[in-house]
Amino acid sequence: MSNELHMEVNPNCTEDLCRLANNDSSYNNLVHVRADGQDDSIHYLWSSIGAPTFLVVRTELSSQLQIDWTALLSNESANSITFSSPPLFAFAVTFTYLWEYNDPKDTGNIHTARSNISYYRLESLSWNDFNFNADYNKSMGSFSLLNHLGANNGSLQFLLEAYGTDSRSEALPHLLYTSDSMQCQLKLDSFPTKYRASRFALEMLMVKVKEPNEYMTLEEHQSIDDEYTPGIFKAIHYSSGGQNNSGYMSWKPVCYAGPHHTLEEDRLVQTYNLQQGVVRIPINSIAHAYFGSDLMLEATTLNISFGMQGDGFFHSTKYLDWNAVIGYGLPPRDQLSMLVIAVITTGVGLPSALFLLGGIYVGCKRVTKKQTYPAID
Amino acid sequence: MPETEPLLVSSPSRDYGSDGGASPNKRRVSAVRSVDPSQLEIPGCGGTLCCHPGRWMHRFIMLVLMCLLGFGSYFCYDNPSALQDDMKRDLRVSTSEFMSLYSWYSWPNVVLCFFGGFMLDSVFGIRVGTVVFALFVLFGQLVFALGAFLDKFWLMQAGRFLFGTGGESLAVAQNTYAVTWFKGKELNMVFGLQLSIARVGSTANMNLMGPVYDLVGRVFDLDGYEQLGIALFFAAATCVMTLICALLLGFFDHRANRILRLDEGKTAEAIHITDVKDFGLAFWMLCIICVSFYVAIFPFIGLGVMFFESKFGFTKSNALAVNGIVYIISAVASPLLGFMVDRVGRNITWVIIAIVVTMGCHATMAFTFLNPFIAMSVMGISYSLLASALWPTVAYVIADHQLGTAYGIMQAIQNLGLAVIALVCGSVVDNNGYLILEVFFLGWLALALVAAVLLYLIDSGRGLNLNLSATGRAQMVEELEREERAKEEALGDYAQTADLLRPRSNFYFRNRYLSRLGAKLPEHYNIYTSALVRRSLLQ
Repeated sequence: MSNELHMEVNPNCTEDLCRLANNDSSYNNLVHVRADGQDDSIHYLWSSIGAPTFLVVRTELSSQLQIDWTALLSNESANSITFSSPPLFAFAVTFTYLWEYNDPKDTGNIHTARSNISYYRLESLSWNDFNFNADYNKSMGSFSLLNHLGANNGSLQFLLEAYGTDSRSEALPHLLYTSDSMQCQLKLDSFPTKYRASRFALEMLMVKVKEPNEYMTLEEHQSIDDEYTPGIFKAIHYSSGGQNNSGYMSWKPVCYAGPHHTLEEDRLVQTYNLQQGVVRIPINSIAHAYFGSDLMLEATTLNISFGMQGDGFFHSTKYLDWNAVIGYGLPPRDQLSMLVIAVITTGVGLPSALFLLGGIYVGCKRVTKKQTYPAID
Repeated sequence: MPETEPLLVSSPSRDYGSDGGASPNKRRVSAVRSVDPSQLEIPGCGGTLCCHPGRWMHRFIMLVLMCLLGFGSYFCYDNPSALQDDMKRDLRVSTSEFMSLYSWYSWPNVVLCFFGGFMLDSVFGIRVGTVVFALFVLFGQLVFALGAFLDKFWLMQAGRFLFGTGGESLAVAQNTYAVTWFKGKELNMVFGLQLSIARVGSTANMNLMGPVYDLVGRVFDLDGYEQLGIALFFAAATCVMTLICALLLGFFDHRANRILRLDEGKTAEAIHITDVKDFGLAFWMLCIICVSFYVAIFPFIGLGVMFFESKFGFTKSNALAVNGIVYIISAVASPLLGFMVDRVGRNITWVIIAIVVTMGCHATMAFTFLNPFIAMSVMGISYSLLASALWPTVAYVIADHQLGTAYGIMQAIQNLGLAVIALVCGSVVDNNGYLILEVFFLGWLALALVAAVLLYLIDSGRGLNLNLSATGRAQMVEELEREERAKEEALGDYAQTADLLRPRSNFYFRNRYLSRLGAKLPEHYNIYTSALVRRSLLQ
């Protein structure tokens, strides 16, 4: 399936609001990607205004995105992002905190580490200008969001990729992406550490309009198939729930301690329980700008931590990246590849055919033998 | 080198205890003592229960030494497997590089399986030979550990090469010692015990190396490759034990030889490489079965720990335990299944059953999340079944005097296959994951199955009688005996030559084969222990 992608950065924004740096030399970045289907459009909004947020909205084909930039950039951002016709479905994922915890006992678990912990509140970070690359031939675009921290030019980066076709990423973990999803990569490079045994963890928040009897779920899906991500037999699906309309964020419990994503660099990603109840949606975020505070909202938060026992902590490579897919619909499930099916068919078929033919051959031979050579006493 | 000659006797009148009367080309074939050794009077403490070479207590001491002789090489053989995660992390090597440590063990044995036993017989003699091979094993392990300590992976590979050079031949030497000392007494038990001890060594490695590694890290406050190197040096202690055992065995063997004034046997036949061209299609089918079945077992066990950890969420220790189950079960099941196959006959049917069951085990682990404990246990049984049923079959398709070469070739092809496939498996896991690896193994097993079915067809077509029941075989034996008697009557003096036409049982053929590889076996050596022969002989 291939969908046409429409991509634009800071749509309808005036020069002075969006093209120039703010006072703290940060930039306001908002990307709008629209994928048109048969009778609907999926809008992806990705922005660093406030906390880095994905907003995924499904609308009718003709529906237009409308942004009130002045309101969006003010403290009264509620309902500053709207559509020309009422959207059919929307959900948002916001990255709220990056935790750094000390793990002197080398547990790889943020709860059992029981030592120092500190955090970066992502909505207070200031971000560089978008690095935006669109390749309309390949029907894809990538947007990276960079934040430099520390003396060693350490950085925290979000890299987004949108595709108009169904395929798999070239590098491990070879996540499956579709035209109904975007790929997101979180990258920590030479990031400054505070502790001797520092590890990082990420908090994210999912929000949507509350629907009766539809709840957000966190599912660990086990699969026999690790051919795309060797050694990883699980996928985590963080889903907005819902029968007809749903969105998801899904990932494999693996991150990489090196940019080349070799198998030696893979580290486990631990997912913690879903937190429900009272959840604060960052006022500075496009999640708040779209959903506002009037509606009855459902929101949950989730923590994931990077690294495992015995991996030498973050400082062993000073690098970490993690990949996830965010999209509309149901989370993609890996299918057995043709190779597997072919080998198994041949492996079972060939010996069986031989058995059968051989049995007939031997049977015939015995019968002929008896007829040709009658017993002699 | 007269001192290296074994204590074997064929005629009571000869005495070459201390005068070096034995010529270098002497060989041993049978082990029959000239006098009842326990009746021999020895003055001083040498005559006590413990030290008198003819008394049971002394033989028991020898048994312990023989068992411990193999312990070291088995313990260290699977060191990489037991420390796979740590090794890959500390040395920053990929899975395929890691697996090359096993290939470097297997490569030399592509050739050495021809020559190990032969050298033992013709060049070194059992005592010096054992010490030489033990030295290879020890130095190999030391170089391996040093390589880890210095973070030089190529040095580790060189160490594994040296280690492999000694390891397989040491097993042959161990069997030879067993026969020279226990022939006609407790040999079956001794072979069984040796295999069990070898398995214990392998299992002990799987369970101990992890804790040893952790302990080294804590006590010496080391980490990374230095921690790994020191842990491997500790493992080398088992090889020192092997060397000490080899020296003690050599000493006691020499001493017994001197005291009991034992004589020599007659020359064994040599292996002719040119015999190969006469081997039939059935033999090559057996080779295909052999190589394609074993590559689905041993490389899998080599990668098993990581597989059980990542797919089934096992802890390291549980993964190691499940991985070791095949070894443990085969140690127990081999003699029983060997006994059964011997009683029932129908070797090809058993081979086919073993292959199909193994496919089932691999499929279970590939396509389900069932606890692999079950699949691995069943695989242990099917593996033992194949080992008991496959190897004797060679004896029915190859002429008697070519058997050694045939087994040598089969072993060589198998080692070659294992070495190549071990490398391939590593890269399959790196690039395509464990599911594809399992599918890869299933493909090999399918090939083995095709070859087995073809073998069955060839057998039926040409009337090779490979798949006779035990009763059918007994009838055939009777018939041949009748013919033989008729010939004997007709030929008179030439009757002795009829020996060549004597019908053969499974264990007879196996004995023939083993004796050519250097393991001297008595005529009554039986099927139960033959199935237990170590990796170097029967895999």
